[in-house]
Amino acid sequence: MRDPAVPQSVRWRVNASGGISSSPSYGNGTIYVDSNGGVLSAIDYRTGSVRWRFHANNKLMSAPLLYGDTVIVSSGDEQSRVWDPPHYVVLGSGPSTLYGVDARTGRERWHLGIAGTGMPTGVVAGGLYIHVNGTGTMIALDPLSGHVRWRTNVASSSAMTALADLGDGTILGSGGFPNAVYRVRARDGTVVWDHRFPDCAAAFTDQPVAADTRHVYGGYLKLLTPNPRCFGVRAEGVQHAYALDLRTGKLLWDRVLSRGEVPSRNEGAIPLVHDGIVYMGSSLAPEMHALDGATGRLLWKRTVRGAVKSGSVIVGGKQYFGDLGGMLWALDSKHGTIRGRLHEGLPFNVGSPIVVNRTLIIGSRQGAVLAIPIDAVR
Amino acid sequence: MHYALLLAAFASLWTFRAGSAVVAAPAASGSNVVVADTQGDVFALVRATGKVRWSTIVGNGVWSAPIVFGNRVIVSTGDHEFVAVDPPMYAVAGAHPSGIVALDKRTGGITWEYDLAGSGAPAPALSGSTLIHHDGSSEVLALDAHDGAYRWRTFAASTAAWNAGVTVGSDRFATSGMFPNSVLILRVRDGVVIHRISFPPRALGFAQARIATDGKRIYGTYFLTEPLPVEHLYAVDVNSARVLWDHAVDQGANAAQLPQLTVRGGIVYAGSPFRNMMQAFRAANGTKIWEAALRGRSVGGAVIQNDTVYAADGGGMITMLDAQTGAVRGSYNAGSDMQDSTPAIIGDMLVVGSANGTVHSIPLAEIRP
Repeated sequence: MRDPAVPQSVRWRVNASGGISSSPSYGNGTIYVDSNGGVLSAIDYRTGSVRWRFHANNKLMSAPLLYGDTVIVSSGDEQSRVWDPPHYVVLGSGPSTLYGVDARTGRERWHLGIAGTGMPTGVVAGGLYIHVNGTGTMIALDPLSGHVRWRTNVASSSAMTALADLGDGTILGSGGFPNAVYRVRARDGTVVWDHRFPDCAAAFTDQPVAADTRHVYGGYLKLLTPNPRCFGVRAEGVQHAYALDLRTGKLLWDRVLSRGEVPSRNEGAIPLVHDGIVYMGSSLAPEMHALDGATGRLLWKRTVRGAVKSGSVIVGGKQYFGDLGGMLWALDSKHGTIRGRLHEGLPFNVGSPIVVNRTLIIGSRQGAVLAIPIDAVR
Repeated sequence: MHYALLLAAFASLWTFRAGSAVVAAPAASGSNVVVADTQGDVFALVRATGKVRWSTIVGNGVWSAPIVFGNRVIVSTGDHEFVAVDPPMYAVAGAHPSGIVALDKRTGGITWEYDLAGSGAPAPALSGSTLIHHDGSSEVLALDAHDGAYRWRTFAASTAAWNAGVTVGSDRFATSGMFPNSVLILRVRDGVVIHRISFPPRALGFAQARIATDGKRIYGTYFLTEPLPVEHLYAVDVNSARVLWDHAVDQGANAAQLPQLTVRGGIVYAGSPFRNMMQAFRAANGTKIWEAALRGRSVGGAVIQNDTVYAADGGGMITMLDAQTGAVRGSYNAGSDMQDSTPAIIGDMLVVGSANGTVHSIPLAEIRP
């Protein structure tokens, strides 16, 4: 994103009070970032000084959403309240709450308790803030007052997923148990389509989907040795990528990407679609992949330092992302050749980067927020 | 004669003190009485003496009657705390861990448990071997009562807090919920919602008031506030889902919770949230048949046997009324606040809990003029 009112590039590092599991947001010269310590920090883009901090009642792992002068965040944890896969899973054992916070002062404007974790990132669509939580309940609120306009249930439980606005009055989401990707009408929560995946596949609670004008893209893990509980910590797994038809929800292609040990948390790899190419890292292997969105054909694969669970951002033909090995990467988005790398020594987990002017902003698993000129990744 | 003497010897007057309020109806379990309190202790008491045979902590409060199923005692645990209330569309009840817990009825050992997303304070219902529960997150969950295995779930889009589900015949389950205010009738086999009956958005009590059924109709109560609370009593036809009647019954200040209803022989019996009385209404049209004064309020529900209504009240009294006329036939001063407690008749004893945790076992013969 571009903002002529602030410098092109800055460099600073700020401690965000706990690991960072989401993408920062930017508005009016301020970076907003959530942390697993339950703190929303507003950081001056120019200087890196903290303007205010807002303390929530549980971890903040969703991306802050700026709507006018309100920042919307959602709290919750990753523990399960109900665990009976593949039938019924509810995530979030502690308090879970949606908050509207004054973007200028950090004061709470409204809050609303929810029954499942607030880890998923919501979306504003059709003038409503829409959020799906760890019970699979989707709630639409007035983003300024926090009053509920409708609620429905998509059956699937969500954790580190995010809803996506398609800009046509519908939104996309995904969840697990049952494993599903769905398209929902923003005005009333009516399901347009709901594509179900096999029970014993993992990562649907963690992996958001990406979409272009024709397709929906996502990924999941399959256990090499399935078990009745459909859960496989420290088991060998295979990563799949898939595409669905945006209009009908029908499966267009599904292909294997990588293989490795299934991690205990954050099994997904956040996809990005840009100019018909799908970019997806891997929670199983230190790899970044680029696929032809229409066919699923692998265009290139790049081995990196650590697993890539976070999303990426493309600026000027370069793809920027961080990996769990502590490396920031700049790859040629067409060919995957390395155009730059920078070892920061901080593991980058599921906190995807953003770029403001010529500055990359990214949070690390250990809680540092970094602002780095993108030209420094070389 | 010999049988009567035996009964008289078996029936005994005893009290037992639980750790907190006992509002749920006690349940008979062989030679035991099972009672549960609002801090989550379940006790099996010897019917004849009130001595503790076993006790088990189930984690959160128990607000509904234990269900005895085969060699299991099943309770649902939860709390009344609302996580969110945003009328008229949204509410979540249950701030602390909730679940359904099955205990071995001989030992009290936990045989299976199933966690819930929202409050487990609402009462589950049993249809055959299917245990169905509507929770504070608006989920209706069906489990196999034998082993707690998952059967189905349905999102009710309506929140239960401490009300109750009931089975209607062998194939339907009915429940109520708030925001949106509704009564739902679901199919036991698969949880499909057959009927959803909507009530005014400004009404209160659909998550708290327990519905009752006689198999033909569902009966319930709610408040409208204008500005003092007005208590409504209604009946819904279970087949057509039509609201057959809906009457403003009473109005007042300082309301207690809405009364639990009891239906028997074409009559709906209800205490009053405003007054110290028991009332009887004709089930067919809701007209009042009688009302009878009590010493205190009685909203935990009455128990009926042999054309006699037994009501426990907040003034410490158990009153025996003629079911057809409301004439007082007898009373017993238990001395505990039983306003919210549901009595049960077990053998020839009336067993009822109270606000201070005292459980009374009173031979029916002791409730006399």
